[in-house]
Amino acid sequence: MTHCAVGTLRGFLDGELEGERLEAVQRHVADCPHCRAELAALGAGAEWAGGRLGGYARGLNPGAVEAEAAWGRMEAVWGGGAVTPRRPRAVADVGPARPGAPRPRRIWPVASGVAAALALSSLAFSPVRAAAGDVLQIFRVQQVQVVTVSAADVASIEKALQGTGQVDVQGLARVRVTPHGAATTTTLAAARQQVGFPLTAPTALPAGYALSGVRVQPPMQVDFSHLQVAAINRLLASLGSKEGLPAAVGAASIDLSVPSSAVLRYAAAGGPPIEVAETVTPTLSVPAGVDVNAVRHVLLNLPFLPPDLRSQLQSVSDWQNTAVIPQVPGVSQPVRVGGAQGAFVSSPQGGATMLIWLSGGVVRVVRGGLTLPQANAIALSMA
Amino acid sequence: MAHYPGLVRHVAYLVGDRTAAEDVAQEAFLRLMRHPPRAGGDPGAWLRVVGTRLAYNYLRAERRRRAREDSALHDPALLPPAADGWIRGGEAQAVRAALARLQPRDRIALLLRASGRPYAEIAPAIGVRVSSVGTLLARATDRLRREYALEAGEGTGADAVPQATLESEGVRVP
Repeated sequence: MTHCAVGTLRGFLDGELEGERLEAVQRHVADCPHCRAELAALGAGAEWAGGRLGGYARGLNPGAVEAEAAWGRMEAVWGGGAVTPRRPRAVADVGPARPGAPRPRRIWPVASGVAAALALSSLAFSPVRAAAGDVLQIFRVQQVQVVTVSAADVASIEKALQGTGQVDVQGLARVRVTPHGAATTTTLAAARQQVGFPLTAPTALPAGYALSGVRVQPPMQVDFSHLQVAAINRLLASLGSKEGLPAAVGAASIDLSVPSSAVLRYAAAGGPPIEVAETVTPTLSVPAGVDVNAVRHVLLNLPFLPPDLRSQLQSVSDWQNTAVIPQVPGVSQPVRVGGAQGAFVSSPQGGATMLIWLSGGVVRVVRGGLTLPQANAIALSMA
Repeated sequence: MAHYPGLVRHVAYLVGDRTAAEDVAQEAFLRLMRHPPRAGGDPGAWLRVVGTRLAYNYLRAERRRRAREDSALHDPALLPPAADGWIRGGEAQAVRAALARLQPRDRIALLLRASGRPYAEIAPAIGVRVSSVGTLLARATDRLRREYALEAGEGTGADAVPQATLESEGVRVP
């Protein structure tokens, strides 16, 4: 591959590339110092322009836009057609300039990856019970526990799952995702105000790295309803389960609330980008009629779970508040970040690494081509 | 009319002039009434798209007019003065003046991108292909940086464009 075109690199920075083009650029940039330097320069330019134009937008003071007067002018131009004018809404509450309306957008892979991993571990093993009320059981992940999974365990689970073919999630439940606004590229100061939790940007980064972009993903609601208990139970039976889910689950609507998240991207001329993602842990709401212990019991008794893994999962104390991170030799290992439990995950192909930890109800991820000591140094600077 | 204040803000952000923005927003509303979008459409989104397009046309017409009237006076000082208190802060003023010296196409692309719009929305607003937006944004960013550095008197300061960036991107310095 020859060097990436400037426009392609800019599209990469703006999250506009997908699929094979995205992968081709990622592969090329990883091996090409020239394009990495170009990318860093473009990132610095984009960050500079974002800051200046954001300041300009906030500096515009539209005052109270006179909708009523404008309506009168328009009526005159319109000349009394068939349109019946409604009273215009009061406009005393016009705030600072914030052009445009939100629009659904793709979220950065790291943010969705973290959310998906947490959602999965919450759903599969560790829904969390906090203050419940009469109607809902509310679950929130408040701690992380690592369970050991050997390579043989992984192989035996894969073998068991291969026999069932494709699992069509669409046929098992209705899943509705409701984003509350669009992902925005913004400045660090604006992101701090938007996310609703203390955003702790790292203060110590490897030499040469500088902030090149900040993206905020607003909160998102994921709603599982119309669970097809019969179909789910057939799937469980095909996996060897002797028990099925209680029928009451079918009438339940299960809500997963994913709070807003922020991704800070740091670029340097000589290395791959480093990303820091932060989000409050998601909350899972289950109607009081659903016996979550029964669901957990069924899942834990799936016969393909290796006995050792099953007993580890069963012994997780306070399982309602715990996210389970599998420890796979050579891929993931438990680590302590300050006083908090976390995990360090490296790609089996080498290169990409991720440090994830949870403290004070906030999940934080440092991702890049870092060694554990490097990632840990960045993490500790966020304390 | 609930969409009117938001539309004026959006257009004012694009054209940098409050009075012009009200005219453009009004024109967008008149088009909405004459040619309403199909039932079920979102009038707010429709208005924003039309308002953006009209803002672009306004900026181009304004630029042609200024060039025609007197090329010797083609100077940012001719920028219509902002109403009292309409724009706050010296930096925002400098950004507004730097934006006024950009081509309308560059200006609209940068402003839409800075407010988080995807390329698929930027491209039709300025009449280019989606595949050209990345290149256009990269070059427009450098031009804005250069104009801003002149405007803010930071020609040799930290905000000056690194020469390497200019050279590697083949930007022509006028």
